[in-house]
Amino acid sequence: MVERIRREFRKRDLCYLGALLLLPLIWPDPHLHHLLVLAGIYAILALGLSLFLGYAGQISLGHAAFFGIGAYTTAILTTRYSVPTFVAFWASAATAAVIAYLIGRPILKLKGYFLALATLGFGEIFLVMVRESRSLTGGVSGIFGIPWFSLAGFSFDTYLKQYYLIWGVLLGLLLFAKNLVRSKVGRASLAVATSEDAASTVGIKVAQVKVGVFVVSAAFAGFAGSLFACVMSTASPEAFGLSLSILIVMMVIVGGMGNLYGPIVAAIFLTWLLDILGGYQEYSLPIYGVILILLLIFFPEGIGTRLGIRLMYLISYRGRKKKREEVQL
Amino acid sequence: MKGFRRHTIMVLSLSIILLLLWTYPISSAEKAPYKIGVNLGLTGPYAEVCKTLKMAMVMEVERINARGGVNGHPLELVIEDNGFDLGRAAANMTKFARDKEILVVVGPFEDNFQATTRAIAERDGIINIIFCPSNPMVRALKQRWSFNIAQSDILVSQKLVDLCLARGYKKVLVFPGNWPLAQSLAEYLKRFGEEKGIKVIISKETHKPGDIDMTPQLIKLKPTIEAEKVDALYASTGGPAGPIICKNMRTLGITIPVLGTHAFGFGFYIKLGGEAMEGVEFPAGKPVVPYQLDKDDTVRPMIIAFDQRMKARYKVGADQLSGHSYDVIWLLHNALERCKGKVTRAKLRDALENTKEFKGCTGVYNYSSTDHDGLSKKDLVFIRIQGQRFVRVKFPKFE
Repeated sequence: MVERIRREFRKRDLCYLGALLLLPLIWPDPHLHHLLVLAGIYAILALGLSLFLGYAGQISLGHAAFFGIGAYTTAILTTRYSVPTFVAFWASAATAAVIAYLIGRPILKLKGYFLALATLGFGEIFLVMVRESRSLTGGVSGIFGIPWFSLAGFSFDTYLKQYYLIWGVLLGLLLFAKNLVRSKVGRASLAVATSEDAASTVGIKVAQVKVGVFVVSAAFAGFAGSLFACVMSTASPEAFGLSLSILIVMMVIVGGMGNLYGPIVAAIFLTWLLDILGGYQEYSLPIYGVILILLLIFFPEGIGTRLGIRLMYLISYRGRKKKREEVQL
Repeated sequence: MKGFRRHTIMVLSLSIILLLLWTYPISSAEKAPYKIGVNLGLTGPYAEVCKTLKMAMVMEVERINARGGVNGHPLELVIEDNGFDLGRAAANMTKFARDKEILVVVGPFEDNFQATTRAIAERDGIINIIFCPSNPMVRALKQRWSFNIAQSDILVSQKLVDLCLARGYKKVLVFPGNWPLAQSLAEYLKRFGEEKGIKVIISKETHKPGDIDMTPQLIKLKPTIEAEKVDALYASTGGPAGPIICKNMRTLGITIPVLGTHAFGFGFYIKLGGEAMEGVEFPAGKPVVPYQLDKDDTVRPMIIAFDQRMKARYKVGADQLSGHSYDVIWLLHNALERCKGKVTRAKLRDALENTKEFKGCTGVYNYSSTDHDGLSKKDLVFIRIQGQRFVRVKFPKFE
């Protein structure tokens, strides 16, 4: 087991892991913990979308719907049927995956803009269904009073506990995603992303690969949605609209496509940025827009791409600067 | 001896001056401020509404501070934008809860975010004042730390039933929006209306806040209006949807009277709807018609004074929204004044809960441990749009 973990995670990864474990303990600020909880949820969502967008080269503007399906599954099961949150958590991912499979078969035959429009339409259909199925989903009012996530009688009822829960789940899913992209399916999806025609000529079942990655990606969103419902204690249609889908796509693009760490870095960065900008009140949105444009201009490959090299460059630049100053003196 | 006396007088005088200099800042605005967190969607679909709320709060806080604050403590607003996002609204709430200097959080304005912020308020022990608590499920949550401003959907619906009774309407068709306030207003009208013998038909056709044409829905409703011989159509809505419904109805030749919600009491309704708004009636808060209130109405003087201040500073008169902001700030001012010793969140909560006969713009507030709404049906008036302006209408048995 230890050997396997060692194989999966290099020294650099273990440093990141150590930092994540220690960060909330060094900085015992509930607001920071809460922000990291949100960032972790978005990171799970973005990680899933990254598999579909970055590795399989497909676009989805309806991922907020899978996130919503996860949240509503947990909300309905826990509040109406008193199902334990741990069971609801798995049921959320399974429901999102099944729905993704059912809609993925027909819509993944589409490509490019058409696929984007189809997924966008799916997101809107989901919202209409949620608003209209009042007896099940609470309609426009939503569902309230969703219990905290709990496991074997242990309730994750503080931000610190939720932080470790969500980042633990994220770590598990990251491990799974790393294995997936190195597997036969992962290599096939990369081939599909490069050229569907070329991939099919070498015997890759393009449709199957696309649906498979879509289903996995939706399951990730289902997990994230379940955790979101438990953290927010509510599930309402406003939270799962187009703006969330765009935010998640933005996290994948800003973080760097075809890179599993990128969306996580972007999720942390954008969550933190939005929180900081809140103080600028009505100017927050224009400032946010300008920052995103600048990021896309200066980091077209994503801020999470070659993260280690960037950090090393920054450290060495400071070192070089210090040396230059010493020489000048 | 003479020198000693002179020396003593000088020392005493200096001591008094020093004492005065030392005590002066404490007795004036140099004391630590009482901080109020404001969690509003200043960007996003409700940005304009939230800006109005913010403007009025800023104006009233500055006014209080110019008068020396509350017992010498200035008020300070710490404003954060939530961008109409649940995650950000919750994050703002935790940020405010963490800062022990922030005594109370005002907002969010949006319906479905309120359940989450209320849950955080209960967990972290910080007061959360909600502007428009319309979601019946949120309202049903009996909570210690949350207080509501503005008339509830229950009060508005009861008043609308009174309006129907006064006008003799026996059958009302409701065309609701698809958001919580619009839906709950429709449902409460049905509930209270049917108790009084009024048949209320809630249409399955709904509309969204951003719909720019309701003709398709109204075409489907026209046969029902004719077959059922409906007396009035209740547009259970808010925002630009209200005038659009009225315009589309007139274009389609539907001439039955239109009833509106309290959200119809804004000037832009008349501007957008023009002639089509003539004759629309609805119950609304008193700030809609400040100069038409009875001379002996206890809240009239403050609404008029507030209206004049708004006009002087922002070149817009007071309305129901800015009235809510006035109420929040002055309710807090009133409660803070009643706190004895060092003000804590718990002391302020208790003081707020014991608010009695507080006269605000929206009405007279009476909070208690079982009632965190504070207002009553008496705080609403009947309004009719007539001659492109709001006119107060009175019915002997109902007002």
